[in-house]
Amino acid sequence: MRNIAILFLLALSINASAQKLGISYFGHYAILPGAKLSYQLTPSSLELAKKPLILQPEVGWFMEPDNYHDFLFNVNVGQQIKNVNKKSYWSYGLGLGYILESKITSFSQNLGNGNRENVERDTFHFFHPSANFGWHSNISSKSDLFLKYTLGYKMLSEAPSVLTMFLEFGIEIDLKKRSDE
Amino acid sequence: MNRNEFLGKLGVAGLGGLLLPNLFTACSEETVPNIDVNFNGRVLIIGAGTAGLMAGYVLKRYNIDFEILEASSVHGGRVKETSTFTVFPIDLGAEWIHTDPDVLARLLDDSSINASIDIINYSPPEISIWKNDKLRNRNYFSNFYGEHKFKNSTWYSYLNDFIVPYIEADIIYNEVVSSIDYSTDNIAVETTGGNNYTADRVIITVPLSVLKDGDINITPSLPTSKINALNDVYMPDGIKVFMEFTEDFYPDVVLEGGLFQMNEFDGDKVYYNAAFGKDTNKHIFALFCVGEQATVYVNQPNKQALIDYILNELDEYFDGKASRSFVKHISQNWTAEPFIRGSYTHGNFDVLDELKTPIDEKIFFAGETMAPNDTSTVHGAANSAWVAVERLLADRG
Repeated sequence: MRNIAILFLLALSINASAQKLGISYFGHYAILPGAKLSYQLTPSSLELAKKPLILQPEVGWFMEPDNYHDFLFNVNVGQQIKNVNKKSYWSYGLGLGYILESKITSFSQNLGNGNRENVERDTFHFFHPSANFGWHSNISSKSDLFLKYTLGYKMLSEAPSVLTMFLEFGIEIDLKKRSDE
Repeated sequence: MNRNEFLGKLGVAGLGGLLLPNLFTACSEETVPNIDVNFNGRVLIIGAGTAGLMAGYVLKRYNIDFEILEASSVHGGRVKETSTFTVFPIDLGAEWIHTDPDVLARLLDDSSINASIDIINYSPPEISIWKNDKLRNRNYFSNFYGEHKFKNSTWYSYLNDFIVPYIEADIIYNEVVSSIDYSTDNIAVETTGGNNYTADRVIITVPLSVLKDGDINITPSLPTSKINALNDVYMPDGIKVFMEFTEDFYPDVVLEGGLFQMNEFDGDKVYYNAAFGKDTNKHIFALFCVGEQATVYVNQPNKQALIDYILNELDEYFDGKASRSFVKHISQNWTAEPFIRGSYTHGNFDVLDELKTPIDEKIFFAGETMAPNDTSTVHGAANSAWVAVERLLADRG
């Protein structure tokens, strides 16, 4: 956890001119509910490039009701492929993350009132390398809608390794641009 | 999403139908019906499986005079346990809870009960498939598969502890019903032992195979529509085998075939870690097989031949580790059970409404085949009993 926090602070301290805040639906296998918050940085020197590099610390959460909650801390390094004549652009990147999983293992079913009692959980820790591909569309000078597909692997845990797939869609808001720009 | 649907939909929908299993189970909740009692006669229940026991339990609540005639020497039907094979009781029959476990409370419908049952959140993380002579990791299937199991009890102990005590005195064992004559107001029931019973209403809860095979001579005969419906459904072979090993060399679940091959057979076949989620260090691996694929197992000449066949199969999967670490096994051949003769309902489910329909409001039907929803499940069988008794007590005749 401490290392993740340091990584985040490092990312935030980079001298970057473009900074975007992303809020998105983050669906494990598309339909298991989740949400993600990301902070996108583009180093000043590359901001105007056709293919600017981006650094993106992210925090996410996804869950299956009555089964598990997963918390993701991820750093994504990627590139945007822009066409100045178009309002949309592509992006791709590689991520390295950590997932903290809280999973219900058992509980007591009360036969009188039907309630679940004494819910027991196990906690699992995973590393989560991933690759992603996204499509972004400007909806105003300050904001983009985006759709992103991420394929990853939950691994190096006491729990079995498993493939992950996320479908993400949300909005990115440019924190530095003024709305009249 | 239950095991049956899981295995089936793997083949057809490539897992799509399995998503959000816990949401789906929450949506499939059924509550027991409110019952208006307009009937005060005598009822005979044929069969002391889940549906028969539950029908008795509900009738008892309404002080209706009834008896249960059970063909075998034990109650439970396809719900059966052994508590001597290993350190935890094992379901030799129905095992998974294919819905939200609060159904266990809803079926009893008694807020004064001060008891609880420990439940395993069954979402096994290690899933493999055996395909083209190779075992392949498919752990991501676990994201689409979720059910529940009893932790240190069984379906049998649930029935035995919370239903049977109320009705034990009303169960008559070893009474094989041979005929039912409902041509007069007083329904006559005869057994192979020559005993005669009479009742105002009868609830038939025998397995579908027994009904199809004509073990019970019903007079007047069943309506043609019902006979046609019976011809459209069947109970294929079914077997369960539990094995103890000295080491844990297997994943939690092994399925056979690829994504598009699993529906090749009409049935289910799965090897699974039967000790998953239990408080034990014992290594218990089990085979659950129903349908065409089960035939080769149920037709083995004896138990030694059966386990030899299975160990040979597992040795192929696991490079000989099964034979090397095998300790002992126990099997339950449901096809060979004289009053069961198969697994659970398969076939054309569109005809089930016809099968559930009572005859002349005198002969009622309950059981897993007759479940209002969730056919082929224990809770479905129990729910069908509630529905049948509700209609019987409404006395629409």
